[in-house]
Amino acid sequence: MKHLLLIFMLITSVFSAQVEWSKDYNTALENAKKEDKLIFVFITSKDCKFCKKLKETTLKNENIVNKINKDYSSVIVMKDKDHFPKKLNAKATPMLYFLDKDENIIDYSLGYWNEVDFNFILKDVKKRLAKRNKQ
Amino acid sequence: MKKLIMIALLLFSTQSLYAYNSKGMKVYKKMCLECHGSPFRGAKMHTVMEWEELFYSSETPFKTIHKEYPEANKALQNHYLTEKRSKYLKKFLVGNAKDAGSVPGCDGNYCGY
Repeated sequence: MKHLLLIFMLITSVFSAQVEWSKDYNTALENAKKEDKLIFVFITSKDCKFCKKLKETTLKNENIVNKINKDYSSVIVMKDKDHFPKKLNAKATPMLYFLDKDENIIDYSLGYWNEVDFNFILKDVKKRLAKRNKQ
Repeated sequence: MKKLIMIALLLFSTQSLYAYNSKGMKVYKKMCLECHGSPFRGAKMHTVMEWEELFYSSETPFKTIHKEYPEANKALQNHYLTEKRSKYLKKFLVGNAKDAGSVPGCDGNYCGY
């Protein structure tokens, strides 16, 4: 019974929805240019419990994951350690930046949000992009 | 006696301050929740400056920004959003804007709201 439970857990963890993270910022940028996508930069830091919570809950939600994987080339970067543009300012974490493929900031969001609110954040990014393209 | 008066005044002032903010949140819940998510998330749609600019640029800021959204416009026609309520809402939105208020995050020394 224990083995069956373990196998079941393993299978569910393998097939659970996951954001396709690029290995670093430059790879995310390259992918965005290649696939004509936007860039989603998740800035985290050491011992940031809300970053972990965001990654383990909201960013595991199937609906959110599908939306992110469809429209964005995503990357997680560690504040004060990994390379990413200086203009992506992160006084606190989790800091989320949404960029176009030319690295222009479309929108940003600070802090942990649940899947309902995160959905609205993604909608806002689209609205801001549409408004910018209109101008 | 003096101390008692001071405590009563302090309690009254903090309560009225809270009530002011909560009034704005109440208006948000009634008018905006359905399309913009929870109150604190909704307030973070814009920065303090963007909210200020929005309220400054128009006497009817909500009607102006929602003119392309018929459903929102319908809700705005029901006369709930009086001038007074609009002020409460502004106070709430500005106080909890993208670059103001508190969020669940960590700044290196502290993790919390």
